[in-house]
Amino acid sequence: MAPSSRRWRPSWFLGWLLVLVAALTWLGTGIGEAIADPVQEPAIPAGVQAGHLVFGSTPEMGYWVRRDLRIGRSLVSALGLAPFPGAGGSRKMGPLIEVQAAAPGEEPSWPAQAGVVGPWIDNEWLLARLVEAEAEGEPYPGRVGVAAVILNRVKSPAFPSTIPEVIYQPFAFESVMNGRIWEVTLSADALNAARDALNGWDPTYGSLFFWNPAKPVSAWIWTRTLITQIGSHVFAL
Amino acid sequence: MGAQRDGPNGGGFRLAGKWADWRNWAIVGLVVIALLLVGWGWQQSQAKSTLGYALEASYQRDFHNLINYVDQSQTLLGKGLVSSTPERRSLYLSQVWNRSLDAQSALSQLPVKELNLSATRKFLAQVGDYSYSLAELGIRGQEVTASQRSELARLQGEMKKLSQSLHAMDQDMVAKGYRWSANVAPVSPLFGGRGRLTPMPPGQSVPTQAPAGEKVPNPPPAGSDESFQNIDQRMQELPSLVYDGPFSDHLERRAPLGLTGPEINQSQAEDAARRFLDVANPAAYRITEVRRVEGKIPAFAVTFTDMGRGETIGVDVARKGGQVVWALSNRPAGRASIDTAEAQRRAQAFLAARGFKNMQPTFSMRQGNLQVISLVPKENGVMLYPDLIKVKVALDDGRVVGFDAQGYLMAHHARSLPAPKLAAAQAQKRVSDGLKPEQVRLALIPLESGKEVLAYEVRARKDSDTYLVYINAQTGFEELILQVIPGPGGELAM
Repeated sequence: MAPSSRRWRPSWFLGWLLVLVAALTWLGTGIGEAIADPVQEPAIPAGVQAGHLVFGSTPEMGYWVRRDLRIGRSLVSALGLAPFPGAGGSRKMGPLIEVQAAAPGEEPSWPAQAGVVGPWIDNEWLLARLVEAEAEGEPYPGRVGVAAVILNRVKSPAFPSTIPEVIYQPFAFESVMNGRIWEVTLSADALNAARDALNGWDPTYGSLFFWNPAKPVSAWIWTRTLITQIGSHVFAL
Repeated sequence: MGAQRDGPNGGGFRLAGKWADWRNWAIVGLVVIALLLVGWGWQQSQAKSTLGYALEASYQRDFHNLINYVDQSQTLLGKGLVSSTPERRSLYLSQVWNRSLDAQSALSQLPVKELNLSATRKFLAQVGDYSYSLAELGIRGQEVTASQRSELARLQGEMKKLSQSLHAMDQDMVAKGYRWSANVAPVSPLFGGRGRLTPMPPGQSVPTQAPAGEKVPNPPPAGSDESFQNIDQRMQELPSLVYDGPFSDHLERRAPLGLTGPEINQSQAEDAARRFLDVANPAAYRITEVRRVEGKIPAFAVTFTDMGRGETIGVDVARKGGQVVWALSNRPAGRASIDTAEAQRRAQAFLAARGFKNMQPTFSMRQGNLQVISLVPKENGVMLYPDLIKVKVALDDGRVVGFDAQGYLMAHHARSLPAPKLAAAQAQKRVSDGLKPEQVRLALIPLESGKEVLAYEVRARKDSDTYLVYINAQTGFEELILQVIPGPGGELAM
């Protein structure tokens, strides 16, 4: 009979359920493997030690040197750096990758020479992530301004005294509360903004707060001394 | 129905059989779904409570650290106060500095929502900073004055009150089973969540650990937010603290010294900004926005856009005097065609063309294909570090793509520097024995307190590390030590 083929069979449901469970398990393992899987790159040049960054002639060729002196994750995946937006659609990477680019096989002149990664680098990336998450689509001075607010807080007695403490202070930044800071793909633009702020540029003249006036904010915030508005953010002392 | 099932094949039987079949399968399916849901829910609740406990543990750690640090600060303040020698006092007071900043950082990490505890945080930071400034006096061999001593005693008293309030809060919270993590993700009482604590009626405040005879000010009501509110209100009423330290209240009110000249209007600002640009064809850059900036250096913020390349350059021009405060381009630099030395020459030439004479490059670092160079004016052989200007040069075409004179405009003024009492050779002898001096020069350096000091800058090496030691040119006092950090294309000092 024709209708029997169209009949809704419970066994189908169970079958699909099994397929779903299998798919989810596979996806879970897949993600796990993707995280653990190192990128295969050419042999490590002589003289390079564990923990060094080796900058390749192309961004994809840069990598970390692992503790067991094997090639670690590529700089692109390890740092989550996205190709520079715009710039004629070229695949050129952010400035970090271009630093002292060594030819494959050649010993990188920095930071292998210094033996350590500069102490400022960690803060740079954290700050850049916050800029990316909090000021996406903002004009460049507005992005530098968001980074500058963090640094102004570090220098203020009313706020914690290190960059991580300021950024991870409870309820301080929306992107930390909703997890965006860990999800964004870091762009070279955000990294540049963070560096400019770390280098001293402050388009906000010491501001300690920024907010988007189009979104609901507490009335208290408007009692602060307003400095300026850049893009969609108001900056205040 | 049962009878039909037993019967011979017929239309009715067939239908009922299918129906029974379907129903059996449906029951099996529902049971499986229910089991899966129960399993999933159990796993979720396990995960939630594990995460919740981990979070609560971290907040409890911060809160109890806060109490410990405040207690220790209070004790150390007392010890510093009764020390009879400057050396011993300095030792205790520098410990106060550590402990109260630790307390400030622990307090900052507590989840207190919709509550501004900045007065309490500022109090903790200032107590530390003030203690440090007195410790500094001690190592300079100076005695503290009577007013400094009474200020210290006042701060110790405030710290004691804070400690008592925190201990009372702690006991109250334990008694009520208060959970910090409930502030982060409140759970409805319907699902077993603990509501926020309500303030206790007056007269029912919990006993504190205050010693007998000590009067406890403002018995704190229950609940973290409310008690913190009380503490912060008390802190807001404290008198301002002025001393030689970076958190001193007088520094917040500091005015720029380098702004001179008449007020300018917007079109003058636009002209000044355009003249400042370091571009081959200024005509290609259109002004797309002019903002007003208030604050310490009121300014016009002019934005230029090159429609062709999508480059935007922001230039802020001070409304008083029309000087450029900072400028910044967002252009990414391509492959480098000039080296660091050439970039430094370009930076000097750029500044000279804009009226900044005798600027000497100091610290510098390459970031990608951009070179950031700090330059300071050299006057009569003295490097004037307070008047530092930063210039960013693109290494592809050698253009200046960034300029920052905020520090310069805050600090620059005509100075009459004293003649050094010490000779360079004498200053060199004052650095640590383990250091090999390489270079000595005179420099004016800004201290954290905002003061400026004439010092010999002794560049010296120890093994593979390089240091800059600053020896006061009048007193020979070792004012500051910086470590030179080599980086790509230059060095920084930390």
